[in-house]
Amino acid sequence: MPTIVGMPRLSDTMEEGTIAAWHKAVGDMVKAGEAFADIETDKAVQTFESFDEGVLLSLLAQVGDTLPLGAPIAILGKKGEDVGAAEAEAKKKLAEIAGGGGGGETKKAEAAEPEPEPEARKDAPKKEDTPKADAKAAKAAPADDEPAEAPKAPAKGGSGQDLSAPVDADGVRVKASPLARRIAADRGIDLTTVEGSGPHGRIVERDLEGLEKTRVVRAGVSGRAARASREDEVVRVSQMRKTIAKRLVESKQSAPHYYLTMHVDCDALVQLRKDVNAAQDAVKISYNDLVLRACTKALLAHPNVNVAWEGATIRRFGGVHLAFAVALDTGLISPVVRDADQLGLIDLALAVRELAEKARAQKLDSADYTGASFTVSNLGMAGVDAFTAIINPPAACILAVGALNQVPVVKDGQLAVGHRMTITLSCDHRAVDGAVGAAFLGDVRKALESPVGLLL
Amino acid sequence: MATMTFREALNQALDEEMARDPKVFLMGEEVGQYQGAYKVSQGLLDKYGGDRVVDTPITELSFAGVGVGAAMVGLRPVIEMMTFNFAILALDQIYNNAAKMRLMSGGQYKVPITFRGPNGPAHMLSAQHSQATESWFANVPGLKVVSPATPNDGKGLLKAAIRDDDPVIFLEAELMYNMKGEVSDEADYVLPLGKAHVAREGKDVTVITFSKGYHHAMGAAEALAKDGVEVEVIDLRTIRPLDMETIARSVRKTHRVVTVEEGWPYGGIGAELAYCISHDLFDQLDAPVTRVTGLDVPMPYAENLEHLVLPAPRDVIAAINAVRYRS
Repeated sequence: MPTIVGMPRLSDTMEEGTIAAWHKAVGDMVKAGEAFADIETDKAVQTFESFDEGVLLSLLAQVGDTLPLGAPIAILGKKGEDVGAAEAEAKKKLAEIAGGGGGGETKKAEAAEPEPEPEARKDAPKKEDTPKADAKAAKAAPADDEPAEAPKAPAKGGSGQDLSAPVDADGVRVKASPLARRIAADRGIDLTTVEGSGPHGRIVERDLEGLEKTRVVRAGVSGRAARASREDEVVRVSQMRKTIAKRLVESKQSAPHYYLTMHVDCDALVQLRKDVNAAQDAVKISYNDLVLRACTKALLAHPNVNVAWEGATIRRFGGVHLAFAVALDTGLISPVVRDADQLGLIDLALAVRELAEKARAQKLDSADYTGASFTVSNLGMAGVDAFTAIINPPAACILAVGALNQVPVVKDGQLAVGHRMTITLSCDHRAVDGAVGAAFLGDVRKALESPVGLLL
Repeated sequence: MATMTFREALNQALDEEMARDPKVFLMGEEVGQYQGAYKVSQGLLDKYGGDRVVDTPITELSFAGVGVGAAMVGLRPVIEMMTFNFAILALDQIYNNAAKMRLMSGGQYKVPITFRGPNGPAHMLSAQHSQATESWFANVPGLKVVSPATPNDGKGLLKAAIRDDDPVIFLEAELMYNMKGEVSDEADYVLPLGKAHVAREGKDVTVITFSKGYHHAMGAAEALAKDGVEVEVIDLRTIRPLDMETIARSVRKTHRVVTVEEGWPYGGIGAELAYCISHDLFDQLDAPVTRVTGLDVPMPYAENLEHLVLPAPRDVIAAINAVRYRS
């Protein structure tokens, strides 16, 4: 019957060994006490002297193999003996050691130790360790009238007090110092109603000074109870809002936004608007119309801004398809004035009115609000001085228009009253570089500051 | 009460114990002819002769072993380590023989020996000769570790150490040998081992300390008293065994603890105190036990860096403010 040789234990602490060298080859005679192999343990490379005798029939491990203790490494037997059965057995043994054997032992060890009271378990031998003249043994002795403080007593002591950390209504653990917890338990204070002044909001002793029982505290603060009775309203999200949410998240997450801001001197623009509105009755031109017109003109001069990022390609729009944001009760939509560059100021203003009407009546066709090559968003009438807008795809840029205000300005070294407006361009950096955006924005400003061109 | 230096108080303790008990003898480097490297043994050679005041070669392991053997056969050796930095060489005798002989002989031998000498950071002695060793010794079951903070305590505790039937590590401080203080002139003044001393009473914070740290703590307590903060200072006197009874009494009153020591933080005396307090007195704590220690580095030689490494009263004040949740 062949003998299966296992990985030997060559040091007290080794759990596995690595074959460093074989001193014998298959067919060699191995005598007990003879050098059989070099094995690298956790400490050193050691020579393994065989415990068994026989002809080496089979080597089950290669040089460099790392195997756990007891794993079969070789088979010894009589010359010419069949090793098939022994090899099968060795394989089975290896599987046992690698899979169930070692792990099973660990599991058993864990199961044998009951989970609770790890502290007490650790402590017990410690106290026995230091029996002589050690005050640690004595320290448990001093009379202690508070059962919760007896060293081995768990937090829920004989007094029946629960001194564990309280949890608030949202399931968040309330941080309180151990002393604060004990005081709260003694005085019947609900720690979830106390604000902590310590680090990370920890409730400490001083936070409980002067506090009475919690229900008294609650009764005293009537406002709190009244506020608490108000309920939140949960509103179902409309399709429009879903679309807004989806498109804006997409835009803000995929387009690397950057922002350019300029202040526009609007003194001439104010005068021009007055003159234009005095000269015609077709439509009352708004500042927004003038801004849209200025953008249209500037976009014609900057075709690299009138673009869409399409991944592998950039689309340069043939015409200016100018979107403008319209606020609705239910959300927001940006109708598009198609080929705005082919419209004069008055026609542009009329087109904008028509689309805005349709938008408010929710009668826009999809063609009326898709395919923008540029967008203008104006919150000036809401009193916003300046803001940054999220790009409205497929357009690569959006202009955020602030309020036109009278402000003190310096003119020829003198303080004077001037009209100013702040415009902020958001650009998709994938399609529009900073210098390109800046040149465009500069021309928008120029068009607004010398506005006669808007009429041409 | 007489005013005297720490070294004089220690000298008195040795003198009194040698006069009282002929089994007591002093051994170490330069203890005789030279009258002691720090003059703690001044005059003892003349008074008690070469049999009881023994100069040794520079062989700490050997004379520590001679001491252990002498103690085993009934004498009461006092082994002077010129500094405890050199006691590192004798650790095998101290840890493995002095500390364990009573246990390993099944109680047949007791080892009434005192190892004493200067311990802890001194002044510009650099990494190897300026370090606090108390936590190393305090880790060993079987040893008692004593570290007095005042001349009076030095005298009373050294006498107790010599009389104790177990090995005692008695840690003095080089920088305190010249420190003067009132010393009891009671005929036989002995302070019990294993008893801490409430050096200053207060209700706001407990500061636990020993040896030089005691003076930092008292300085901090003095300064904070001006702001109305009442700091209780506990001088451990004996580091092992720990007087948890006195500590507990104080913590039940103050609910806040700062420990002060000059040694390294990792596994230090403060670490043990923090464990014992948080375990035994968990419900009493309003803030985590906070340590003031030397920095976790070998001692630099440069004086300015030495100041940075060592704790000072301002560090104690900062820690006290922290446990009081004041900035």
